[in-house]
Amino acid sequence: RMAGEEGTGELSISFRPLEVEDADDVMAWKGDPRVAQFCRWDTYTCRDEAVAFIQNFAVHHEWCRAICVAGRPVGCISVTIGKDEARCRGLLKYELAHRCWGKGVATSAVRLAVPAVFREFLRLERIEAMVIPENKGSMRVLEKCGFLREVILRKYEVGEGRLWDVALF
Amino acid sequence: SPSQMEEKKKEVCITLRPFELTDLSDVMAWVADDRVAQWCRLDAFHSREDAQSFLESSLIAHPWARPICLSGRPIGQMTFKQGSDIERCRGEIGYALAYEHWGKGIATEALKMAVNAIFCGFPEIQRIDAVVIDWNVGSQKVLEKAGFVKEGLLRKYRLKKGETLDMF
Repeated sequence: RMAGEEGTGELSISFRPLEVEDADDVMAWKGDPRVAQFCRWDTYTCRDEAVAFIQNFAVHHEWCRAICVAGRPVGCISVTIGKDEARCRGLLKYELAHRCWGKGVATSAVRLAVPAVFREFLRLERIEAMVIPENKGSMRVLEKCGFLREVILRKYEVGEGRLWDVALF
Repeated sequence: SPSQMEEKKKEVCITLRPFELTDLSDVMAWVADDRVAQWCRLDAFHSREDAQSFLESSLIAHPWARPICLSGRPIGQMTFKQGSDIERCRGEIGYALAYEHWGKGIATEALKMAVNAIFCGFPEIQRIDAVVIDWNVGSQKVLEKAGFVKEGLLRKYRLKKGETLDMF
């Protein structure tokens, strides 16, 4: 297994920065309502949105990586560091193409990302993640990676005409 | 006596007026005091210039900051910050009170008034939350008396004077 790779026997994953050329691969998960509903963003309907996401979010982000299987992006993972008195904490987010769910890919990605981010941001002492409790798969990913569920924040988010509780890990 | 208590309660009011530059001297009573600031997100501003800068940039310019007034004079502050995008249904409330006015139930009253004002004034808001240092038992009691529910402990949530704090 190469350095920078992690994974189960079947699927090993690697990280690299997202590039504009990845837009079609990005659409495979950004354009999928099954992914969008758990991530609480609107499903992308055209490739331009994927390009804008890569250019405006991924490229300039302090820590954002494409999750690659066999060298192809199948999702992305990011940690957003807080500002000022919140710079001791980072918010982990990840999204994965539906066809890769249930195969340990997200677990591998989080397992690879967490120590990398702690190494890179020396002031960081806490990484947290928010997931809606309906997203049982993601709750299990975080638990397997050693995250502790601290609290359910009630009525924390709004989307699709309703309020959502959020589990904070 | 009961009537004196009622008189005292009548004097406690939050004005809906925004902060003004002329509030600076009153504002310094809590903003420049380490005994207050040690419980708060920010450190004290000891100089008049720093306090003025805070008043201008963080209170007057704030989307929702109100003085807690006793007989019309500011003795503390109440702030509310609405979340953005998918978090616009919630916001964080914060307050600080001059030391000499602690222990009289003022913060609890002010908080109840602010909560009503916020739910009325921000129709999208469905949740108001507050974050308080785990050893700040006084403020936790204020929040509980004002109807807040303790949800959970967030470990190493904020930095204060170089150390991370656990917060409810």
